[in-house]
Amino acid sequence: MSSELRLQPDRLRSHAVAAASLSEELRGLLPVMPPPGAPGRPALAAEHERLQAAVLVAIRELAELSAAVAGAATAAVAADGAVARVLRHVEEGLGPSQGGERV
Amino acid sequence: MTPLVPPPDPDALHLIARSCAGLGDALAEVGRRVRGLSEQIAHDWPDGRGHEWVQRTARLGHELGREAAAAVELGEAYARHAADPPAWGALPPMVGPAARHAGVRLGGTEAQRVDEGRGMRIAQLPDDASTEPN
Repeated sequence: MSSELRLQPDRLRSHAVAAASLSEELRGLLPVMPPPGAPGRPALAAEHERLQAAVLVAIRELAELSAAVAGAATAAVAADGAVARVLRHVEEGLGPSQGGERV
Repeated sequence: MTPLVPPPDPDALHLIARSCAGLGDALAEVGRRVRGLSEQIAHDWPDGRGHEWVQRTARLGHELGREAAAAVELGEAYARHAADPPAWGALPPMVGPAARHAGVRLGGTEAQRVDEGRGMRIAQLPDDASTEPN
């Protein structure tokens, strides 16, 4: 596998945790809406509502990012395992007499 | 005559204004960290799918920055509102000639007269309208 395309599972897992943490941090900002009956003209309430929706979208997006990055980490571990198994089989198939000098 | 809508409480408006300013700061900080995270993911997830997520994450970071600015502006709008409540929250009091000619006065449910005028009112042209233009 090209070293440029090799994924770093540990680092990806760390990024997944960071994304989940940011999502929770945004969730802690909710609700951004003023309490019912709060003063203010309707345009301000509408802008508040739009902000609330934007924060909710960001929360969901970060949660999806976390899941995707964690999935990539899991896939990278699985790929590394598969490569290791293939190499082991190759080594076993070649054997000491056919593999020549081992390095 | 009293205003039809009570003026908003300036203290409550200031509280909301401060809340919006705090929200703006928090969103700006989270947006900055999301943009940093996208750069790290770009380094550690270099395939096509990773690239898609990097773009999505970077876009999210910039959107959070814009929403932070919007939250700050909203807070400033509430602060202006608090400084001048009658301009936005309350309808202006109806006094003077406007109160006299505000529209048709509707009858109540008390079966009492609400206006001294009686009978039909026929629309009439003003006196100086008798000279028609050529």
